[in-house]
Amino acid sequence: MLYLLSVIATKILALSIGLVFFRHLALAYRLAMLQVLLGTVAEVIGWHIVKTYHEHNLWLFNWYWLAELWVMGTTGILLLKNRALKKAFTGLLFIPTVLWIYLVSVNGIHTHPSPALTAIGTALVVIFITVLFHASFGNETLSTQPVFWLALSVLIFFGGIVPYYSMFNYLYQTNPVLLKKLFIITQVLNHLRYPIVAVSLLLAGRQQLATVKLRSNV
Amino acid sequence: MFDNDIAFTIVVTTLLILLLIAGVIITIFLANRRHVQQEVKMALMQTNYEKELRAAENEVQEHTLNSISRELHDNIGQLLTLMRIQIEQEKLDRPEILPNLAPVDATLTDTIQQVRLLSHSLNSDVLEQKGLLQMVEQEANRLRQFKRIAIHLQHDETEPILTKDQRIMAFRIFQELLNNMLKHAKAKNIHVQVQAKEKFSLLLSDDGLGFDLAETMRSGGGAGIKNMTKRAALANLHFHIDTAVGKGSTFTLSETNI
Repeated sequence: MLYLLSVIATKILALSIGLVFFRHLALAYRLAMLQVLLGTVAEVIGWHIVKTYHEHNLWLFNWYWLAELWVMGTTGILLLKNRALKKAFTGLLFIPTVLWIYLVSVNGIHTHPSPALTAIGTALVVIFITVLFHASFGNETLSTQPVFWLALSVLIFFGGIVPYYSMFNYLYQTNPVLLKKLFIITQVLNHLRYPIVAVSLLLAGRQQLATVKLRSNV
Repeated sequence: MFDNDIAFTIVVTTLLILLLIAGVIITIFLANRRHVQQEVKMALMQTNYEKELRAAENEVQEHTLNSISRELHDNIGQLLTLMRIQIEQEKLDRPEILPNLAPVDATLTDTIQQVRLLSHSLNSDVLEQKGLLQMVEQEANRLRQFKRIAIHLQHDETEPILTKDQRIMAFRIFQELLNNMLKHAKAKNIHVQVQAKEKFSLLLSDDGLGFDLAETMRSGGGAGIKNMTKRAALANLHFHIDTAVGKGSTFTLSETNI
């Protein structure tokens, strides 16, 4: 419960900052906000399903991971300028999707599709490393760019959860106690992720606001 | 033991992947820093080059204006003076045409005065001798004589403490602004305000047509404005424009804080 409350607090922080600057945010950052919103809704509904109905909520998170792949994948693609890379990465998003569809249709929606989640994590890490690489050629210092913080949040989270999620299904069947203990990895990564997203939204909003002011002054 | 092995493997793999990602981020970060430093260096070189180019342009312009000023004073001024002597001689020889010559005489006096003032306004040596305040006053008086527009001058009777370059630049920009107002603004009144007691500022405002500054800059116009801004910056002066369609224009030239 404490974990849920604190992670939701970090998500609300990110959402609040995003809402303050919403009018000035580029589509990519609005999509990042959508992911935070989806994450918050999934966490609350997932908790409610377990506490109230005493049922598994894996089906909900299975759908959420697929949605997250496409929302964050599109965010990364929007942040890129190279057309060929945009096309290539759009194609890349279909690999984990096809894998997810295959695993869910074979094993059912109530089973954890570990290989699909590993593919989702890997695809997003590849996309956001490329985003970061391209941003490094800009004229500004990387740490002052919102794209750096957004990419950092994705890289830390998805890079970090790949080993845990790749073993998820195996541990779920053989050692659920250990699986629960290792859930701390996701907790730590989630607590790191959303404050970094908040920094990114803050910088994105302030930068856009500064640009708007500059344009109206000239 | 088996559980611990799995847990250990997962945790260590997670840490290794995070470490790898940290390595990639640090490498990209360092590459970016080098890139930004190089960009800053290039921008600085470009700025210095532009500054030198503009300084050379200004030097050539001042040289040309001084030559024109000398020509006006030494050549045309002398010819006009000769004409006056001839008219005076004519007056003595033929007193009966004295009433006919009176308007010619008046026009000639005006012309000599205008040529002298124009010559002075173009000569930066005169500006150095007389100072900015007196030259602004003189230029305002010169344009008042055309009677096309009312020029109202206000100052705090203090000569601004400026470097030679700043003084020349401020005066040339003042002249260009006045000229632009006369040509384009269709104003009835021009207000000029010079302040120098605390901090130098030269303000020109008109009640003319005004213009959409953002639109002018966007449409690629405003070459004169860009040029004046750059020239002002070269002399460490700040150039500010406040204008809107139908609401006249205000131009301020002031000392930068650095």
